[in-house]
Amino acid sequence: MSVIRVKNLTKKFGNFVAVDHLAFTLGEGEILGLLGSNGAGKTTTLQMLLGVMTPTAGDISYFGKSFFRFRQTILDQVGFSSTYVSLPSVLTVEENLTCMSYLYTIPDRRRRLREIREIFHLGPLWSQKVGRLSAGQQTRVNLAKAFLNAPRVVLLDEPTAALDPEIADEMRTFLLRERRERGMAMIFTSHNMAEVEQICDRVLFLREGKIVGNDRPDALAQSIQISHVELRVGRDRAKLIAFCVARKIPHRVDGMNVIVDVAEREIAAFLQAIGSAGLTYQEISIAKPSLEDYFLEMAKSSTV
Amino acid sequence: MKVHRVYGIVLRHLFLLRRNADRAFEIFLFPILDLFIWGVTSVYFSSIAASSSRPASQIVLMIVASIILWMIVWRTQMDIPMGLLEDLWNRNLLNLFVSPLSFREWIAGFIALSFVRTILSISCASLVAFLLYQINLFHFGFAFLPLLFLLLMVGWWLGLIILSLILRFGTSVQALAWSLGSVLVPFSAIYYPMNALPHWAQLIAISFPMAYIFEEMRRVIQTGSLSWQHLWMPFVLNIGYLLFASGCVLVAFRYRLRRGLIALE
Repeated sequence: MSVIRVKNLTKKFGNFVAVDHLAFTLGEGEILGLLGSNGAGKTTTLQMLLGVMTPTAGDISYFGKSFFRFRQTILDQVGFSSTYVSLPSVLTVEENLTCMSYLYTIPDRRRRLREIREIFHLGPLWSQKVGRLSAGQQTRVNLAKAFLNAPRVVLLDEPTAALDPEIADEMRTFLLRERRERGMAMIFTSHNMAEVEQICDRVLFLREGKIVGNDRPDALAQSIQISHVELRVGRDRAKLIAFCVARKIPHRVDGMNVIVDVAEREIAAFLQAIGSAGLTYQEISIAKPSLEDYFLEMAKSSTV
Repeated sequence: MKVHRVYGIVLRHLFLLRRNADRAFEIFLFPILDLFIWGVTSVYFSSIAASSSRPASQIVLMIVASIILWMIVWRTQMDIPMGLLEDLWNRNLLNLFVSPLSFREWIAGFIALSFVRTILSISCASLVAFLLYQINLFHFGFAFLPLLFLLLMVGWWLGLIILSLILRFGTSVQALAWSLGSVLVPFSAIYYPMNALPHWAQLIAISFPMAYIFEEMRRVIQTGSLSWQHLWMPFVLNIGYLLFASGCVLVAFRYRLRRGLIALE
């Protein structure tokens, strides 16, 4: 049974279609990345999934139940955290989490709050006002709030955006452990492509409210088929640039290196061609396409 | 001090004033309201003084009781939308509505909170009135209780209407929304009887419950007893306005959900 099933989800603002007949599922224990440029429809989709925006058309169901009919029962099992939403700054971490705990059906609140304090290492922050915490600490408290009700599914909107690399890595490890141990499913938005590649099982790429890519992160990256061949060429640098210009091969210069974009299957032919032209190189490195390349390629094609 | 920098500050606020019609409206609203209220009040009290029909102590009691009872409306109507604004300023509204909290539970929370705060405010004001002026509102026993409840109801529907305006139009209309209670003050016959108002204002006053309630308060002070038959009209009007206000809030919330709760600012 899928944790979330979205059918024909559409949101229009007047004539503008923000989300256009979206359909996807989220499986048990799956981490699904939601990617797209600004205005692609990610936040609108998340808002509809959380019931804070009414869709123009379509259906959302969680755990096989209609979200619109069983909103309260469903939201009791859903967690949400966003860098752009905060908790009241004049209340302490403990006060905030205690208030939030009363909004959910939690059998033993005091015990759960103790657990959350341990899991998120909130001990030293427990009595501090949220407004006094650093951006990273606030994000940690927001994440703690999202896990307060031991949710079956969490929706995370750029959860690591304000965290330093070390804490962000700790958070990713925590999310992966939660998935492994509790089979928890997640929807995850981020602008950090390396993070999405590391954590997500599958990525939905949105453009103008439509799904234009739906696959594993590595499969989406491979769909680009363009590799970056970086050559250290020394005194032949100018000749190599002229060679690329003459053959209209996309390239850029980075110091003594020339980086050439070549389709993966044409790399051998390209290297043979420069050899035949009498050009030599001292070093070569080939970078396979990444999710970031896919993102840029998709973003580029949307602006054309 | 440079004049151009002062001008820069003035200009900034003039631009803001142009964008916020409610702030411009406020400039004219409050002087007119104050002149109207205190003008009618002065005329009423000078007529009482001329006829010497009432002892001075009773007049003081009427004024203090009016101030304290209006506080119920003021406090309650302020607490309800203030809850929403607090969550908006803290960017916390989304946290609440992604939980199983329902809209009705959210409103019920505000109403319960406003009830507690109003009780505390009234108790404090009553104590100060006793200490400073030896006025004991509890002297009338339970006669004031139904009036307090009716005024709480007024505060609820006024608060819900203000809440719906902020939900619908955002915080840019908050100054205008807050003024709503003040606009009703002249027609509420708080400090003077309804017949002290000009005829056109009396027509407005009878369509709101407040004037009936304050008329009854004065009657209780004069006679010492409450007449239940005078309370039906304000009760029915309150029910009508509560239904109307609930409808407004519901429509505004549905509108907000169509736009997305996150967009509310």
